[in-house]
Amino acid sequence: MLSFALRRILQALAVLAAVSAAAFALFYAAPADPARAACGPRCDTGQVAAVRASMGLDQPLLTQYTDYLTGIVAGRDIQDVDGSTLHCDAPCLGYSYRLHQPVTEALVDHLPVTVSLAAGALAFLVVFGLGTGFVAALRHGTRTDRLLSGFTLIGASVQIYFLGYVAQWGLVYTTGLLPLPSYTPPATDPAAWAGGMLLPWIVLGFVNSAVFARLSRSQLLETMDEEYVRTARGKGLGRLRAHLKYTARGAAGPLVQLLGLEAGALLGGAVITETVFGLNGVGRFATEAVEGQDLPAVVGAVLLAACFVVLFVALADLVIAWLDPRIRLG
Amino acid sequence: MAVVEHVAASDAPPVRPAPPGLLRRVCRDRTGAVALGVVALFLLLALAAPLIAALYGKNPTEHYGQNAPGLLSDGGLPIAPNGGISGEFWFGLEPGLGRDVFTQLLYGIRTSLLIAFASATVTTALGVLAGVAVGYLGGITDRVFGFLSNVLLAFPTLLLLLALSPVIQSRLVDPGTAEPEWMQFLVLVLVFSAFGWIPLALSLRATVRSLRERDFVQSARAMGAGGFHVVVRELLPNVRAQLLVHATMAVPAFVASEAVLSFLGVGINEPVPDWGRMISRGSEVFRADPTYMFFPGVALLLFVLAFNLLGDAVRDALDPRAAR
Amino acid sequence: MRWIRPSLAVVATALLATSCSAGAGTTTSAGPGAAAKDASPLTAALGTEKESAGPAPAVAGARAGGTVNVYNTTDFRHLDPQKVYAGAAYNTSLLWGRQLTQYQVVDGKAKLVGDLATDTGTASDDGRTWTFRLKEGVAWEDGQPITSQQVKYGIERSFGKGYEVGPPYWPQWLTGEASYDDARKKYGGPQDGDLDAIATPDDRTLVFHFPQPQADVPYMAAQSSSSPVRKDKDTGTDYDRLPFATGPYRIVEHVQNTRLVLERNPHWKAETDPIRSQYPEKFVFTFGKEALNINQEILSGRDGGADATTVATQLSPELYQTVDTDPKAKDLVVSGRQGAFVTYLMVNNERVTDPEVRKALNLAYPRQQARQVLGGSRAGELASTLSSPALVDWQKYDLNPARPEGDPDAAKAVLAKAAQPPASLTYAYANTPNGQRVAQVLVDGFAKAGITLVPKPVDPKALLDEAHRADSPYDLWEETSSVDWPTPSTLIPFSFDGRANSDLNSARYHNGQVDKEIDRINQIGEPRAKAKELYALEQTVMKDLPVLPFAYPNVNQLRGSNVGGAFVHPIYGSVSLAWLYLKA
Repeated sequence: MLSFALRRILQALAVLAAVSAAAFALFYAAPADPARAACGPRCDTGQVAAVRASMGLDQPLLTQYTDYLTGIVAGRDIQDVDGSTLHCDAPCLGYSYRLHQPVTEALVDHLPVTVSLAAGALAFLVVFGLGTGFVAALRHGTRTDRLLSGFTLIGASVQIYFLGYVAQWGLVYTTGLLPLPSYTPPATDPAAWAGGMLLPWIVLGFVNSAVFARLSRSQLLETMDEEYVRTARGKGLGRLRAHLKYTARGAAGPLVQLLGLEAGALLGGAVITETVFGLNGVGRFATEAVEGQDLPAVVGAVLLAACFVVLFVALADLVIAWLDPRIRLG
Repeated sequence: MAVVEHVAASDAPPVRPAPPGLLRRVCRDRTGAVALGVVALFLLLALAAPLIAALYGKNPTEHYGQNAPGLLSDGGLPIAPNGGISGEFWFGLEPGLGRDVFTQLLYGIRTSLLIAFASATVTTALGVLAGVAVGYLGGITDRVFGFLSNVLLAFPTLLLLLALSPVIQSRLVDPGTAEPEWMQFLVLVLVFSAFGWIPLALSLRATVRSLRERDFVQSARAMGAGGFHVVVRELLPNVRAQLLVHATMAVPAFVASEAVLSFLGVGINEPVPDWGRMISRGSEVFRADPTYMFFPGVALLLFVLAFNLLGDAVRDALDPRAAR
Repeated sequence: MRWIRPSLAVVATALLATSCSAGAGTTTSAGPGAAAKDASPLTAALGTEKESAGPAPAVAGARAGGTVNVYNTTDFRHLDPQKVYAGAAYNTSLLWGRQLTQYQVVDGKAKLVGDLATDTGTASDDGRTWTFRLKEGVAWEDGQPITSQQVKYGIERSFGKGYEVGPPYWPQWLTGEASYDDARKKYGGPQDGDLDAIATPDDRTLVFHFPQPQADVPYMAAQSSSSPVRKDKDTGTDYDRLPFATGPYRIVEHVQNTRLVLERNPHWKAETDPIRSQYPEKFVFTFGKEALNINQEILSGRDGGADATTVATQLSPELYQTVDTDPKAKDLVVSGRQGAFVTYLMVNNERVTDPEVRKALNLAYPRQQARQVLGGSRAGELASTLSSPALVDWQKYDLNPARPEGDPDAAKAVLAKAAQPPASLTYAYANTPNGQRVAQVLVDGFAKAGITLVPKPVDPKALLDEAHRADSPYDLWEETSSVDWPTPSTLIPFSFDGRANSDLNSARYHNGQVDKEIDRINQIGEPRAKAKELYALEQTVMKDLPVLPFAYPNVNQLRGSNVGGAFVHPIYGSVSLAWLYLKA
């Protein structure tokens, strides 16, 4: 198990290194001039050149990249536009000249919103997706099955920005059933936190639960057919207990994998959900960085998102390996 | 959300050639028949848009509300209730510019479909090429590809699309010249194609890898068939079904992605009618004029839903085992 | 030297991004608070020494205590007084920062009075020498008295590296150089030692020596650049996050882009300050909320929304209908003119050389339709002048009357007289939803007059750079800009001086007669006499119609139901916090 975990972690690190290189190359090769953006519209050519130098943009791309990697591992000193030097602690993802703030710090500021959103949405997704999938599998072939499948398919087809606005309109503004979507730190006021996040959780969870529900249904159906479950049923164990005892474990693999993917993707920032509900998380941060041509911030956000994806996919693999010993041997 | 994920998650491939009479089998399923009908209706509407608009007597670009008094208020909202729906304007008027919603929707189908079909074609072609080649060659190519796809899949898709569209656009268009409409379409197709092919390639790679060891391929090889022959004659026919399912599922995914980009403001520009941009405008005024958001939102939902149902039906028809 | 460019870019997009569409059935009269008067909101006379003495006029019904919440979508770009150069930041920094002079606002009328100084300054030597005396009892947040050397140090900082983001006037005036860069070559900030042009004979006296006469020193003395900075508290870059306070409040916490907390400054004395009051206990700023959420929270009054206001967030268009139909909501809208900003359809006069063509454009310009997609009369009043009604001694005039909805036939007739009517004109616009919609309106409207417009979407942040570049390929674009202070001194002399580069004279207007007049008027040291001459010169310029005025934009902001004393500052164009109070 240990060697499998090690191998998996190494693999993940290699992917991350490649992602950082690719992101760096892609964005820093862009025609937008981050120095001009940082300097402001009144800078003349000479000033822009000075800013470019203080941002290190006059260095070869490779040097910039190795500096960047060094910063992530060990931190580094960075010059601001006015020539003053400041230290950026590891893991240093660069310095945002737009915000006058180290990118890591800015990301950490926005992370609680995104983590809250993702955690709640995932919880909803699992409960709702598993529930509908389970009921549909048990009642498979009946009208309930078709109804539930249709319902989840609507979730897969509806646009979150449409559903989000319609839900706000119907549940918040006209009827006042739910509180205004907003983020309150859970430490300050847990009730306000949960209340403000409730609608985003439901909407994001519902839209993303479709694939999960369908997969859990088909997984359950498949395992229910397998030899050992049938044997168990034949032995007269109650129907439901048979499901719970044998089916769940067998079906878990692909579901865990999907969950890992979803978790990684959601934690990277749910751009549209955050836009629709006005939550200032990593997704909003990233879109604003894109709009402001704030390259260090964009690359930082991309890396953070990639980190979450890689981390959770690897985690899912480990869980699966733990569930099913055959995998880690193979 | 990143719609590519839906494609990624569309399940394991049925290893079986597309059987004849696919259409008939799809239609035997009632849901499939309805879905096919709706899709066909949308296609028909898109094709006949100019004709319908001519019969209806409006076009999607004229600012009716601004040119005729009494239609829009000082602030640009339709004066008549329900977003200005009337016998004259069936689905009401656009707030601000006062264009006709019905024809905008109609022409919007064209925008969506054009981009979605083009992207689906390109990604399918790329995916087949990469998937079959990698699966067949195996070895180091396979490992490199595996790593590469892991890297690409780790990228936050939407963010990347958001960041890259303007970059590509500025690369392609000289700042001094007006940007032709086709260029906007091309940029979007390019951006979608850059990442859209990976899921198909991944699933094809797996299929081909397992096929490669099968008897019929082995025997063809033993009989001295070259690599090209094996790929074209033995492997490709066996993944046709998978391709078909992928392509059907890819179209709604791209329609949705295009709408998302337009919603976020980096998709198709004015004056080309576009559903995502309509919803975006609708979201600005949705408390004052919910009607304007309702039509494109529901149309998009119906459209994507019908395509998804059709994709399901196609899969079920090709692989009865999955239909349970 | 130039108009407020940084804030210009910000405010221009703010206007475009938020003023979208008013509710159905709005009346055609101007919006609620829209100061649709033809007179200037600025009291022309400068305040006397008596008027400059504190305390500030009491706000009727005001009550002390409580915490005011301020919700803004984004943090202020700068808090360092020498870097602040935008209306909302000027306005907000009044809470913790004091300048030599400042605007005292009573009943929506602004009057310039002495703030740290006992009056608005005394000129001698035809305006080449200006003397200010500091009041007694003005102090820092740690109780130490404010000295003239500290004011001088603050002004010296504005020459330094990194301070390009602030206004260029002190460096230019004090060195006598027309260009900011040349000025900084003569003196590069505190590290170059003492700045000779400012003398501090004692702790309370400042004497400015200018090589040329300067009439606008009292106004420049009100800019944030004219705030004192204490050497031992100058933390460099970090001063931009946590400046040391002289005003009625001090900053106790500032987490960038997240939160800013102000508490009462015990060492501020009301009797020294004719402008500010100190009613609330605390101010808590929250940054990063979405505009719609901010407005919804304030409207609903839930979760502290009743005690909240905003200084930067415009009323979201989706709420226009609500505030139009719900009197209680309408009551919470604070509207007013956006300072001295004016929006123009700019014309590149080197590309569109024929005045007849520009006149045809003016006649065909569908101003009303363009304003309709931006929110109608709530978004602003249609303009006919280069200068804003917010300027001192301003008078309305219209030398080129045109129908608000455009008159294609009249335009065609004028165009027929043109020597060479253009085949097509390139219109560059900010690629935002509103920018796209206005472009549609203009393309449509000008087409009716037979003028083909080629719309060219440009990245919103790059638009002005692109249009101002010497070899810019664009004929037309929209620009929202403001003079630096409410006199016409920074309007014609910079933006329509044919000798200035295209970054300043972005219309590329060349008229030797006007240039000569500018030189003559610049020698006038008396502010009102100078303003009068400049208004006359503005009409000379407008006879050539170098640019087409579009609108005097408005701001529409919300305040919570428990917040009293909120109105739009007539000069800074946003809700001012310095005299707010909580009703209960």
